[in-house]
This record gives sequence, C-alpha cells and structure tokens, in this order.
Amino acid sequence: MRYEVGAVVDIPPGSSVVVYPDRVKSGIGVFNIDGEFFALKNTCPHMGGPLCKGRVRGTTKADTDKDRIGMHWVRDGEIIACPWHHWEFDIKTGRTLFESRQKVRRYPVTVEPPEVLERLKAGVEKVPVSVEGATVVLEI
Amino acid sequence: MIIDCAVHPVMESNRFNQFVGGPWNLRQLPTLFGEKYGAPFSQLSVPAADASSPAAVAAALRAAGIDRAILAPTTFGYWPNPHQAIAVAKAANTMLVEDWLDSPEADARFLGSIRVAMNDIDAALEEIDRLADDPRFVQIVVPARAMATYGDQRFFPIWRAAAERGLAVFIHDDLSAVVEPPPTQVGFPSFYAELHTLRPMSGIVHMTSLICSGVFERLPDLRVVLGDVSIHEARAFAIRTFKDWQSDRVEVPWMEREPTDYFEKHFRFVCQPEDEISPHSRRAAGTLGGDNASLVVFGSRHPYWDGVDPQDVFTAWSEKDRARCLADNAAAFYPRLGALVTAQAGA
Amino acid sequence: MTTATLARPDDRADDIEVKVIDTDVHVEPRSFEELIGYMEAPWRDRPIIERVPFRRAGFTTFDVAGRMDAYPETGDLGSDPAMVEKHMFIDEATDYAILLPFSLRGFTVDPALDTAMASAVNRWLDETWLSKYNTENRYIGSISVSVEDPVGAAREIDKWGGHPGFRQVAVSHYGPRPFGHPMYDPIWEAAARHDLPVSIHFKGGATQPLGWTSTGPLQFFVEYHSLIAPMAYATHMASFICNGVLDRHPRLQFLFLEGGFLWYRPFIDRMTRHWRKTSKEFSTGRTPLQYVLDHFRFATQPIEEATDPQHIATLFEEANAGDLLMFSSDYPHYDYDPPGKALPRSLDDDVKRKILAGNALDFFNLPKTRPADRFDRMGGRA
Repeated sequence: MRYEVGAVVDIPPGSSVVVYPDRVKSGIGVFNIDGEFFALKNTCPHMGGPLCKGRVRGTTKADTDKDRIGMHWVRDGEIIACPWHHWEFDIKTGRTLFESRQKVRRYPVTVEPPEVLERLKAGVEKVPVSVEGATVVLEI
Repeated sequence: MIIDCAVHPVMESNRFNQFVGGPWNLRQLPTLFGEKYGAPFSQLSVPAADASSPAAVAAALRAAGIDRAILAPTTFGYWPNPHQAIAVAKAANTMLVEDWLDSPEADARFLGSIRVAMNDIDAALEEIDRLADDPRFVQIVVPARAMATYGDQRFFPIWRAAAERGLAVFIHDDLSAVVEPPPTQVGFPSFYAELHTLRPMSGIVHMTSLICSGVFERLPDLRVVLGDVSIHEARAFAIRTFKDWQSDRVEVPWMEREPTDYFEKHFRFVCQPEDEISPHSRRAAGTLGGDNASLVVFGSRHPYWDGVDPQDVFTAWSEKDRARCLADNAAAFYPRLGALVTAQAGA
Repeated sequence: MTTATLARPDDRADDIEVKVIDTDVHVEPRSFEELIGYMEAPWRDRPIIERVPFRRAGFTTFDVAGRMDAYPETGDLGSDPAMVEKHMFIDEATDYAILLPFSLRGFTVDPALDTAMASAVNRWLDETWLSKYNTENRYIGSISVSVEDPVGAAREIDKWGGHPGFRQVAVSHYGPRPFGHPMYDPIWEAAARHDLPVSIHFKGGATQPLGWTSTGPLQFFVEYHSLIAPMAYATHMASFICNGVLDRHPRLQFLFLEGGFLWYRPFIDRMTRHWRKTSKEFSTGRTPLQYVLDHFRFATQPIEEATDPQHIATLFEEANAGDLLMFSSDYPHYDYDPPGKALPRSLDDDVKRKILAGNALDFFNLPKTRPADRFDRMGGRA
C-alpha cells in the first residue's frame, strides 16, 4: 500500500516529518539526508518510544592510538537519538550504533513526480521519472 | 595446586624504617589499620609477630595447602609528600625482596607485587623498571582509595608499563590511608561494620573508570585483579553502566562493548566474604560477563581477620570449578604465573 | 487505612483493580516564578533564583534531559496537567502516580532557603496537583523536605503529615554524613510519627561535591549516572541499620529511587557474613538481610537490562525482586521506562504483579481498587 507523505519541497535536506498512516498508527518518520529519503517506524525497539521525534544529529567516533584516546564528530544529520533513553540509530539502516540485535523497522520510500503519481493512483506501475513538483511516497 | 592471590604480609615498623631510611624514618608510621575505624575485635587472625614473619606466614600457607602466594603488603594508601611516597614504595619493594621473596623458609612459595607511588608517574615507571626483571614479581599493586579514578589519562603510562612487562594490576584497599578523603561519597560512616561493608566501592569505581576511559582498547593485554570486589557486585554495577552506556555512548565512543564483556579478558575478582554466603555464589555458572567459576580467583587475605581457608570457599561447586577458582584461573590470567606454574609442575 | 481523598466504599461493582502504580513521577510548577508566589515572607521578596542550581553542566546526558515528546508548548517540563494525564493515564494503564516534584533543581547551599522552598513546593502541590488538577484522584503526593535542615524538615512533615494526599516524605540522596547519623533523626522521627514512608531520590544537591567518590572524581556522565546513586544508597542502608534507626522505628520504610537494585544483595551479604563480630559496636536485633526485607524497597527505573533478558530475570529472582521492587517510570525524564515494557519479560507473572502494584499498595497503604473514570474511557480501557 502506498502512502503520500508530502511534497519534496516541504521536506528539505536535513529535515524530517512524522506521518501517521492508518496501518501504522504509531507513525513513520521520513528523513531527507542530502536529498535522499529514508523512512523508519516511529517506534523504538527498546521501550517503544516515539523514535522519530528524537534529535537528528551526528555522532562521535573514537580516535584510538597506542597511548592516547580522543574523538571527533562524524555523520552529522545521519543519526537519530530516541527521545526516550537516547539510543542512537543509523537513519539509513535502522541499526543501533552500539552492537545489538535491536533494529528499527524501515520502509521503502520513493520520490515520484506528478505524472507518475497520477499513474500510480490509476494503478499503472512503470513510468518515467522527473523531479519537478515531486511527492515523497511510502510503501507500507 | 592452590594459588593464593591475596596475602598481605605486615611490614614490621622498625624493620621497615631501616629500609625507608632518613629522614622518613624520623616520622612515625601510621597504624596498620588506621586511626578512625577500630574494629571491635583484633583485625589480625594471628599474633602480630606471626603476621610479620616470613617463616610463620609460609608455615600458615603450607598448612592450608597453598603452593603459591602472591604477597601484597599494604603501604597506607596515598602519601601526600611525593618524596616520601617514592621512598615508601621503594622500601616496601626492597624489603619484600630481601625479607620475604628471598626468605629460605618460604621455599619459593612467595611471589611479589611491585608497589608504586601514584603521585609521581615517572617515579612509578622507574620503580617498575627497577624490579620487573625479577620473575617473582607477578603484579603491581595500587591502592583502591586514590585521588583520582584510574581511567584518568595521568595513570595510563603505569598501566602501559604493566601490560608491556606482563604484570597484572592488583587494586587493593589499604586498610589505612595517610590522606583520607571520606570513604563514601556521603561522608564518613560511624562504624567499622559500615566501613567493611562498603570497601568494595572504590574498586568498583576504578573498574568502571578503566572500562569507560578506553584503557583496554589501547592495552588489550592489560589484566586487572580487584582485591575487594566480588564478581556479584562487579556484575550488578556493570549492568547499570551498560544501561547508561546505551544512552550516552556518544560520550565514550571508544567503548565498543558492554561493560560485562570486559570481564573475561581483563578482570578477575578475589573471592570475598559475601561469596561465602551470597545466593549468587552458589551458582558456578554466572550470568552476564561469564561464569562465576571462571572469573573468581582465590585469595586467603591472610593474616587478616576476614580471611578464608581454601577448603571453605565455593563448597557447593564441582571439583573442577573449585580447581579453577583455586588455581587454574590465576595461572591463566596472570601473564607471569603460567610459566612459573608449568616450570614447577615439570620440576 | 483509606484517606479522605482516596476513601470510598470497598468492593463496588464498577471498581477497577489497581494494577500499576508509578512511584516516580515528576511534576513541576509552570516556571520557578510560579513557585515564588507560594513562598512566605521574607523569602518571596528576596532574590532567590540566582541561588538555585538548576543545572549540573558537568554531568548531564548529551541529548535533551526530558522526554522530548513531553515538553509542553509553554511552561516547564512536567507542568501541563493535560499532557501529564495523557502520558500517565491514557497512553499507559497507570492507576496511581506518586508525585515527586521539583525534580530538576538541586537544593541550595542555604538550608533555611531549602526548607522555605520545600515548604512552597508542598503548598503548591497541595493547591494544584493534589486538588484542582486531581479530578480523578490518581495523584498521590510526597512531602518535600530538605535533608540538610532536619529540624525544618520535621516541622514541614508535621504540617502535612495529616493531609490525606501526602503519602510519603521525600528527600534527596546527598547529605554530609550517611543518613543513619543522629543529626538526621528528627526527619525519620517525624515520618514515623505520621506513619509515612520515606523515599530517597537521586538528585544533584548543591552541597554535594559533584561526581566525587571514595576515590576521587568521576570523569564521565556514564559513570556518574550509573554509580553515584547506588553507592550513596548502599552507604545510607548500612548507616540506617548500624545506627539503630530501624530499631527505633520498627514500622518505618524507605524507598530508594533511581539507584538500581541488584547491587544491594552482595553488599548486604558482605555485611551479614561477619555480622556477629562486626555488630558489637551497637545494638542490633536482626540480621542485615532481615532489615532490608522489613524496611527497604527499590524503584525499578532505570530498570536493569541485559541483551539476554533471561539473565536479568535470574538475577532479579535471586535478589528478592518480587518482595522489594516497585515500578517507577521517572516520567517525564529522558530515561522514562513505560510500565508495559520495563520489566524483564521472563519474570514470573506473580512477581510482575507485585512489582507493578502490589508492593506499592502495601508501601503507601493505598486502596486496592478505584472507580473507573474518564481516563479509563479515554484510554479505551473501560
């Protein structure tokens, strides 16, 4: 089933939106990272918190050598920290940054130009793609 | 084979003063058990003269069936004057060699610990260099009550030297401390009973600190033995740190594994009084971090009052698991012990 | 014993069984200024805000300190009754919320100001969350007191001890000596006089050398947040036992909040092992473990977790979780644990029931049933 998230122009790079389709009442977060869209279920696998309402940020990476230890900031805009307990997830993969079996559900998300959207609504599957006035569409 | 990882020879004051020399021997040494918390009973399980006698200690160990004993004399924690601190550590080490390790009555039963002054890192490294070629030294010993947590970068060269030299690090609460901040973070308790109960806390802090500071990521061969912390306390606190690490991993990105995952490779826990009573202790199979029977090493704490005889520890465990606690774990964990034990077995 | 607020005929047909009691819920004034309005002269005319430490910049989580979805559009975290009702009683099946207000502020370095603020907090709580916001009788209050002003604290407990909405005394974890010290006796005596339990909550008190331990200062929040509370609680527990507080007040009970649970058993076993010898310095009637069973309870949040939940369940059982634990969520803070997800799945159902409500019903002496109300209807549960 397809769900129209909104116009691409309304979700510029670095922003995100949480939508609430009937089939996924707890919501789905749609993230624009440098023009590429990713969608995660708005439910943290840890304790059920509204994950996609958390802070989108980068994370730290360790610089470890023989004697000293340090860190630097990486992947700005690609990580989300859950608003409950602050577990960090990789928005692109849905995986926790620390090693675990916990994973947040991902959904396929596409960008569809108006003419494609029309045809999709009419049930036609394969169409050529342009970007002007495009809509973000979730597959749920 | 029984290896005792915690024997505490008492450095007799007059003899110690000969080793420490002037001007430090003009000052009176602190009392062994400190001035504040006198126990309502004798804190030695043997007459004071026996606690200071290599022959008497060797005889007691022999009677208990202990084949090898790692000696860690206490030197009153942190000394404020760095020159005196260095002199005290050096004197303790020299005295340990001459009176104890070389003692003919010990029939090679004794192994040593290198004391280092934690307020002068360069001096500590020199002291390790001075003694580490002697294969009878199997560890360095540092006080559990320090002025900073041991993950602090200032201490790193000491841990590196230990790891490079194949020396374990023994963190032990000296019974008295010259500089004594409150033994809890909410001030001084009123009674010895409380102090004795709460002694594991400093060791737990250092364990957590070493893990969170990424010391083991840099020193994968570093081995730490906690003298006052049971596996059960260590596990309970590591589980709490696990929870906070999940939430604020961003603060310590070098820490790639959960805290209990560091146990197997980097920590052993000397058996504690609670091991003789705790329901957790009856289970050789542990939970997080590994089996209890693989993480505990035997320590008699001779000649202190709360010491334990090897036949009384983990009596509910299988013979195999008891053998791991009494010898195998130590032989495998202390880098220098394996070779010594093998040599002895072959002799 | 039921109270005026909570009193009602037992066993009514439409009664709902109480299944979840949340023992750690932080509600706040809309702003600190609202609280100043409740302060008495001369305090309300003095500059106060500058003296209150609102932050602990050195030891905080790196993301937002509150549940990000729990900040009202205006006013402080935990200050909007409609939002708290929704999160507490509609989104979750919580029956009662034990309120511990003023949670993000440490007390000050001035004990007299501490007591004046605690007094204002109690008046404010009485006039808001325990009355006009408490339309369905789901909120239960705590008498806030400053542990560093024991005489003022006792006066405050006497003032509110007979009020049916206040069901416990609340103190923060830090004091300059462990809590069995005789200097604190007036607080415990007053609590016992009113037959109220005492909860101790982890808080960054102003006089606390922040992050300091028996062996120097911690470096990381990860260490601070995991070690400070349980280490303080272990100390207080030993102190209460050895100083005879529990012998003088045989009905008095303490609840340790946000400090975990699993650690207590090895400490108590350590104390027990040589109890006959070490307890000669004082009078004692019971074993350390018996004192724990009789007098101490622990709140769940932050619930101890493991990648293998069966391991945690085993440890919980070995540490008497079914008798000693009470559910808490720490709403509305970032590390909020919801009642439906907090407990290890493999715990025995009976143990879960006791942790979620049974132990707290006994501890706070609350009625076991309550009438169905609009929250049940709004949550689709009635």
